[in-house]
Amino acid sequence: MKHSVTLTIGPATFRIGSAWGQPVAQLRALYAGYPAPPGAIADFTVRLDPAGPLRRWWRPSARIAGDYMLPDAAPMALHHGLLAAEMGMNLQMALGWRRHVLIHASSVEKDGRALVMTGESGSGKSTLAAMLGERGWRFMGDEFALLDPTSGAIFPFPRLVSLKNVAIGVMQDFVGHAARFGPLMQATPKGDIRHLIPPADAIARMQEGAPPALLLFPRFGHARAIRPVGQGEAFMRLTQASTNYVACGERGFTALHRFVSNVPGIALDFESGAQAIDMIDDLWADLP
Amino acid sequence: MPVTLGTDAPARNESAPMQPGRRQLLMGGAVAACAIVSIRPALAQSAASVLHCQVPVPDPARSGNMVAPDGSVVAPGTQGAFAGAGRPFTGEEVKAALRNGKSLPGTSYDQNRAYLNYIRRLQSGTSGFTCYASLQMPR
Amino acid sequence: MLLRPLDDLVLLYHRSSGQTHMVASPVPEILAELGDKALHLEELRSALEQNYDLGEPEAARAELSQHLGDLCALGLVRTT
Repeated sequence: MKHSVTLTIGPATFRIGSAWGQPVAQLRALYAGYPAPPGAIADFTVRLDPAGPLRRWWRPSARIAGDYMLPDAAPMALHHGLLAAEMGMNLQMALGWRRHVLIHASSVEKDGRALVMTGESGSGKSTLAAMLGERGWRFMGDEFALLDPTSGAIFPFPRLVSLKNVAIGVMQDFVGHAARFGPLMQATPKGDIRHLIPPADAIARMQEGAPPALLLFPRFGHARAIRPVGQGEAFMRLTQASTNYVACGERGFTALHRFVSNVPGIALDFESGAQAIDMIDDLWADLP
Repeated sequence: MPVTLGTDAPARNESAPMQPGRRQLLMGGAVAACAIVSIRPALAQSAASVLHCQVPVPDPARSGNMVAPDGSVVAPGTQGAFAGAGRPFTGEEVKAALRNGKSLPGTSYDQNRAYLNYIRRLQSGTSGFTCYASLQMPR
Repeated sequence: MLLRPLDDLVLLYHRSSGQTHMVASPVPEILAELGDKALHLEELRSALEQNYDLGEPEAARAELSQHLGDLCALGLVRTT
């Protein structure tokens, strides 16, 4: 590949190659603060290939390719290349990572324990994690939480936070420095997207896991409510939120069983980030 | 006929602990509620949601052909069949058509029905199948 | 087969199929009773009767039979 960059995020290293310079230059700039272990061997390759013979130059658009691919993926415009690279990395993790049980969840850490928040797109899990990361918690990830089957700890995957639509404005207000944001990408298949570089301590401590202490199922845009979630329901929802539960086999089973047995589950409905943060602080303080 | 456990019996000390005392075990009546829920893998749904997928009609390997009203792929010029779609449909468009009855963009009523029948018949290995399959996974 | 309890049900991992099931009473008790034995329906019923109140035998057999059918369909038990 003409242009390439190697990125290490948590336990995984990616080599991103591209036919065009721009996405690679953008990645280099945004991931500049991330440690780059010398001689790091890539776990995965991601490539942004021209979507057709002419598409390298004319209305340039990229197909996401790599070690793991999903057929039928729609090509993306070059000016959304940063998003394409992110999706490519997500896909490698979702389909190829086996060392941890991968949960579609955000996570933050405080006092040596992890808070895991799982939910669909729009639940608010990513924005909440980003906000908590600016308010005294250590940010561990906005998209994937890595559950270690051996220790039961949650490990970070602190990629750039992918803010969508309304969350962009919210976080721009929360975070003073414009330098922490990537370019605004408008009208992508996922709406408007802007990346936020995680705080420095999140990046510095990205190899450091923490045992989980609370599992939240957030729902943004509903009247304030708190409801305990039974272990059976939590287990079921986590299997649905995991991209590799089945592939992890018995290790995945015992890891998720141990997780829901030890970690209380709470469904949290909220109308604003500030309200959610208050509720979370209270729940955290009440933990044994 | 006697029943026994299928392969790999649980080790005695791994099974659920027996409750002390005599408690009621069955719900009573001949019709018992199903006591087993099987976990269905969420792979297609979680991973496919990571990318935006598309469904070409028909698949590129057969792009010169037409689509009959029942969704089968037929030779060009076949009476009553429709030409393939000019561009692939997105997962969102297919979902809206299948679930909400919204026509696929740019199609007439009959053409839409033909295309949807084609999509419903997609097999593993055909372009668009993974996208279609991911729409079927329960959330 | 791996059985792990949760607060209101039991998780079951079936090694040969790699499938996970969530099972509620009386299924875990049926599986525990079967253990590595082969039992007729009535043998199963009377074994469970030792420790549980199953109600009237005919109805109990019918219900146990239904659960066994579900378990067979999933490959968790088989007839010999």
